[in-house]
Amino acid sequence: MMLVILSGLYGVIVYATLPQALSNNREQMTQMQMLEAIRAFDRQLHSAAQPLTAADTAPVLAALDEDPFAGGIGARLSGRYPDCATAAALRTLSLSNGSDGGAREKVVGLLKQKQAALRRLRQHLRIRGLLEIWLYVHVPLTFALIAALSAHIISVFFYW
Amino acid sequence: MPGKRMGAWAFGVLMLLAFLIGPIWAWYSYKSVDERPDGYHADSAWLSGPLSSAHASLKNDCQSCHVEPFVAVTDKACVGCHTGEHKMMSMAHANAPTAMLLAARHPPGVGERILDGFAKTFNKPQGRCVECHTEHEGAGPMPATPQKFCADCHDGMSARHTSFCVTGSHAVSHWPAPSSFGGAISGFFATLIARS
Repeated sequence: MMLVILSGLYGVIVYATLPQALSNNREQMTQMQMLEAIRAFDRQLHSAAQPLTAADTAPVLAALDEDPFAGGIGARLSGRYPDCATAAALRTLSLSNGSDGGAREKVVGLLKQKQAALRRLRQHLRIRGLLEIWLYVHVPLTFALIAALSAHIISVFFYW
Repeated sequence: MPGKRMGAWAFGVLMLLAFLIGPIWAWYSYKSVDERPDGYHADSAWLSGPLSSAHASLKNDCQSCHVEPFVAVTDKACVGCHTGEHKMMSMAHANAPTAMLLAARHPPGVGERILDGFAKTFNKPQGRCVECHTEHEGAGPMPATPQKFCADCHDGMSARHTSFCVTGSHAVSHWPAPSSFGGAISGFFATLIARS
């Protein structure tokens, strides 16, 4: 019963506070539009990375392969993606000096834009996750509570 | 991760098994058994507290007192063991039958009348032994019966004993043996009655 109440309290608090943050993060975009933006950067990155050396294209290709929805529940709810391939590609290319400077700069610029778009999407998913996670605790425990309550009422009259 | 519906079913069924079906099955299995074997029995999930030290040996025999389901513990269950002491028990209650014991209490207030109404509806008779000699209140000695001082029960008498109860002669007629001890007590009662 206490777990039901505590999870419900969490629910009430997040329902009161998080929707504003969700709306602020959107900046008028829908989730589908956020995804489209990331895909657009992926397409541009694909063509912009053509002139780079093999050592430089490898991290870029890894970034293109990454699913924006990937990452376990810890990453989803914390917003921290330590294995993010886009961030790794950005780090590698900023330090590299193998390929032609101009091409590399263009790719680095696109990677930064993609990273910003990813950050917005991930923040969006994080807030939605925080808004929904409590129900996975609250709903099963509420049914358990109702069952326990019925058992209690019957048992009190059974062993008067 | 598991969905809410599966979690809800799983927990609900678990609760019913552990706290309803299990105990009822335990009751059913040991209904006509004098002493249950050692080990865990599912109806201990329904224990509201351990038995007092005097009754600790009844730990494995819920049916010694809770004889019928949905029937409140009867005096017959108590007297089943407390046999030779029956006369002692009567004397402890001034040889009074249940109705007189109930009448000796103070008039019930609003809350008490509501509770009495519920008790009557759910077939929980008043004046049973267990109402004063409560059980499942902890593993030590049984707690003292409430209202153990005379005047706690014999209360508000000036309102109820209006016309006939002022002298020692009335008090004497209640007592079985007019010994000097009985005389002293009756004199004490007379003073108490006169003062209340």
